[in-house]
Amino acid sequence: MRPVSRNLSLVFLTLIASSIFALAQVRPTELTRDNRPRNCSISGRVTINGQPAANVQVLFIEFPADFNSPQPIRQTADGSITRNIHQIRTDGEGRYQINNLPPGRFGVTTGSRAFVAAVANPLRNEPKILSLDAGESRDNVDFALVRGGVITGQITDAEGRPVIAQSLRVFAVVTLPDGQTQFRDTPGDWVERMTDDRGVYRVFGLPPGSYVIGAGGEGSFFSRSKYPAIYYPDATDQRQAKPIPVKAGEEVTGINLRLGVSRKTYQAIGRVIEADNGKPVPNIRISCAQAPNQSETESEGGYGEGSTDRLGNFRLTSLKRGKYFCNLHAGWLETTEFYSEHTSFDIADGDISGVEIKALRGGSISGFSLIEGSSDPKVKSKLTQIMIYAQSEPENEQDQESQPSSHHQTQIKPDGTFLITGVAPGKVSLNAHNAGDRALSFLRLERGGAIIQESFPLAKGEKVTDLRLVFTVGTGVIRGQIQATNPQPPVSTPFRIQAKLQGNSTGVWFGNLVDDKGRFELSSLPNGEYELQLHGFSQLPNGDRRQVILAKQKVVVSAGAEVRVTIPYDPNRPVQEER
Amino acid sequence: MKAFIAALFCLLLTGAASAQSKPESTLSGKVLLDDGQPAVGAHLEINSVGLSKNQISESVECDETGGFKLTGLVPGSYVIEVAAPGYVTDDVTSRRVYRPGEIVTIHLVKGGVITGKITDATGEPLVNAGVKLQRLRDLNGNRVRNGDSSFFGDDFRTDDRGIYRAFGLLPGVYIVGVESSASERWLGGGNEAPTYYPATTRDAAMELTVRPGDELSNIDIRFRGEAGRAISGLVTGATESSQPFNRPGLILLNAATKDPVSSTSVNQTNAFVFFGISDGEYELYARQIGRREDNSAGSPPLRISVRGADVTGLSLRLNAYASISGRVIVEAAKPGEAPRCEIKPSSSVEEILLRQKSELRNPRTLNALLGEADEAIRPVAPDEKGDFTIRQLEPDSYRIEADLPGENWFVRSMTLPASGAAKAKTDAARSPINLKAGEKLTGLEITLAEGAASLSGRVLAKEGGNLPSRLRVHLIPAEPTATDEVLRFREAIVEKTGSFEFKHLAPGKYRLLARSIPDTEKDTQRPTAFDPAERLKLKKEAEAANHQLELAPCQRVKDHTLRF
Repeated sequence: MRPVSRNLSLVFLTLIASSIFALAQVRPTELTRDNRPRNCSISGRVTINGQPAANVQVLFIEFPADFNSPQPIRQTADGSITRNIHQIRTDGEGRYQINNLPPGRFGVTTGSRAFVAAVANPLRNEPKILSLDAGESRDNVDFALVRGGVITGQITDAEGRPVIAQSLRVFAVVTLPDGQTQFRDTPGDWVERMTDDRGVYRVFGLPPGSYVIGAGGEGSFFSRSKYPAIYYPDATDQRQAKPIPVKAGEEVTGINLRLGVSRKTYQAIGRVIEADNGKPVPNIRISCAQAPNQSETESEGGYGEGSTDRLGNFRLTSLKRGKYFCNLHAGWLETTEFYSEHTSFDIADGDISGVEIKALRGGSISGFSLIEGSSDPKVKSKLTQIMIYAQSEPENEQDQESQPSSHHQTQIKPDGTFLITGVAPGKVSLNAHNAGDRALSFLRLERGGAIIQESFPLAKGEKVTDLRLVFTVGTGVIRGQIQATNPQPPVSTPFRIQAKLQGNSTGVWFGNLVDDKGRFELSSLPNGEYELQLHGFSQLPNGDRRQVILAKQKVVVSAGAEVRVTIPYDPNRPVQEER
Repeated sequence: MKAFIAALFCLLLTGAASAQSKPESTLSGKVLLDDGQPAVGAHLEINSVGLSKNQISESVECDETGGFKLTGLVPGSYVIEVAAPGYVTDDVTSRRVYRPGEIVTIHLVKGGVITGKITDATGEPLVNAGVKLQRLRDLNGNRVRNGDSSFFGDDFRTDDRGIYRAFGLLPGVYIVGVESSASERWLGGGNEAPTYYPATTRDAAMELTVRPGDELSNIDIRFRGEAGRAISGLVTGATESSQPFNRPGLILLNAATKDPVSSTSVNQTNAFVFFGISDGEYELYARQIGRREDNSAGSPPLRISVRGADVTGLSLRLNAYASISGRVIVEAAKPGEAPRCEIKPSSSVEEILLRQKSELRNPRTLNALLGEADEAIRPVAPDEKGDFTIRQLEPDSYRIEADLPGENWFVRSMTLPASGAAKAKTDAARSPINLKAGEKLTGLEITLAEGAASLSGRVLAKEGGNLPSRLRVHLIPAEPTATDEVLRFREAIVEKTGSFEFKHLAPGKYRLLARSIPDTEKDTQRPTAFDPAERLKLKKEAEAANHQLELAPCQRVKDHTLRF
């Protein structure tokens, strides 16, 4: 439970970096010889307030070319392991040059989080991503920085005592085209934005702008608080908050917050019994969530989770006032025979007891999985790395609030079979996900030889045993180039490419980033027809971006073959808005 | 993040038992701050210990008086984690176990603070540098096995001035290091070796003692930025059955001190790589903790020398863990024999905790090195029928210890079924249980009897003398035939006040003997009486000292004095 959430760029880099270590080739040794030429270089200049910045660290993080294909642990001829991170410091003139890089894709950032880009968007902070071909030198990769602003202060409780380990929320004040202002959550490290043992916080590296500081409330997952939300100077309504202007390099002090009286929470005690015979049901998990429209505000939905003891009793704590709807389910990778009747309870202004959840014996779904076109036992062993997720929902959508549903997860056993129990009656849909490696694709779900398109019906207590999960090992490759038909693109990078297998019922798709030269690569693709979609952003006047699809194109992939495509697009004419 | 959790600690509680006839029971008490004020709003997580299924996890908040109450608990042993940011408990409190029926007071003290500035080799502040605190020992000098300064370990980071402030620290002896410069450590591939306070390697790191409420400032570190080495290899063995999200992990220990240095896990092809390792001697272990017993495995340690270059091509083989299973039997009292000491409350077998202890003085198994703080080797509780399985055991020689609830029971015997030519059961208390890799030992029978006696008192210095700073009291069975009744040999550390206590004693004749503890010896060492030669020595010394007493069934001897 080590959350890695940092600012956006760091999340992005972390995802990529963890992929580097998560993906590696099947080999008798852990190592792959690194024979890549080391003849690439990157150079540039770092300035702070327009002046050369000496001794600034510049980091170069190597990303894999394709997230779908495994990445090796590489060893160079001298016996050392290839590092994915390179670093260098600027000279007295603020210049840097790193040589001996292999060809590849690099994220480039300056090391110090105290500095920000002179023209920075407080809502985003992304690295520069460069693709280097063999022998390429990339110059003028410059960074114009300013010292980020600082806001610091103390958070106390209603009695004036410092509040320790209290999360802080930092909102950027954004002006809309119509002159109205909006407060937007800024990306940031939740650990950094927390008070110390003196109740003191210090937010640094803020791009110049105006900010609203708040604490308490539910906020994000990490900043959940027992105190009601408050905004500087003492507003309970965010709209009444006083924006704090911060200039580059400025330290704004004394931004203190006094929290209100902590909110009272309640507990609900009850038991789970079998609907048929009243017997207690031990060791089953209960999740109760407040209906979204019942909660005080959109973001403050209450939630309680627990499990029954061996006598079937449970207790849910830290509940806020409101109406809760409950579900029974198995613990992670565990099984249960039961699902629950639709159960709800109300928390008014006290603890409640006697909540009774009736457990109904569910149906089961089972079958086996196979890999089409491969009998390699090593490939087959990868099936056990696949998680199967299933859910059952009422046949009619309008019944979803009144009729039970159930959610399940399980693994494929080494012999290829799987079994899910405790399934509620309804329409059952099923999906399979690989924990990282895209070598196997889930092609289709069959029942009695027929392909199931979306879901299949399950009657109360029915046992479906004739399911077949068909996987395949993808070996096709698409390599492509995007080409703007309009020379002045108002669309910002990065672009992403997506390939969706057509005529396939399980939604097989692959994705990757398009590099800064407009190139992309997708591998491990099962043969078939794909729709390629080029995703980008259109820039809004307020600094926001809207996700759009800029081009669509069909391409056929054959096993083991590489297809080359060029995708023309007009940045000013997206073919489709994305959600 | 660690700052946030620096205030979570684990309390193991001990105490009275609940009535078997009334399986639902209550844990209640109070949480107080160091100034005696109630810890209003402190959040308590109460978790069952030792259960393999039907685990119980409850939470409760302290009211305006610092009080809390949790009703409806099934019989068992429970741990409590208290979240009161910035506050901690001491190590004595954190080693206790609660059982329903008990009324508890938890005292919190202000956690310690270590603060300072991190600069690079040129003296510039390092921003967002990772500062790692490692707690080596508690204030009594006992090794803290998980090395964490709080429940979840510690990572703190520097601000834009290079300043860090680690708070909510448990009392103890610390070393402070910078793992790598600035923002690269979160990539998991920091290239540089860590620098320790003040500006040195791990071996020469200056130790810092943090007492409750202490603030140690100016703990500044100049980061050396020295190249770290990589260590890579493959894990083989039981990994074929590995599950998604559950890949084998690797733990790198300092070979000399056995302190954890780094950890990682394998990728999809069971390959692993550590970066940023300093030159030195290490031991590397691989293990896989599965959700099911058949999925857990561990490797023997691999010794590694890192000398100015990356170490590659390592191979660690996972062997299935061994297990010991058996049953706890409560001997029915025969009419007229061994009267029940208490009518109420009586204890439940689910409240017993069983722990394995390595027989070796210097254990080589990872479990023993990481200790109980490590999730893999929490104690085990029998189910309501008394059945138990102690899992995830590395090949080693073990003794089983039973932590009993209440005051009524004592352990009469521990036996293994007759094997080979032997017709009689083997005494599993007299000699250790030797387990081979992957062995599934069954039939361990732990027999409890009612009518336990207890003995408490004080050690007083002989006239004109002073007590040594560390003392241990031994209880030695006095019957001539009892030399090998290992279960009746008991020892206890004497508190600073001179007091000592024994519970769960078999009735009978005993001699009491106090011995000073050499400085080289830890409080938590293997019991002296495990060794037959040591038993004889104890017996002779005790006969010479001749402090004899007889304990009747259910007798509660209090205020007993022993001169030393």
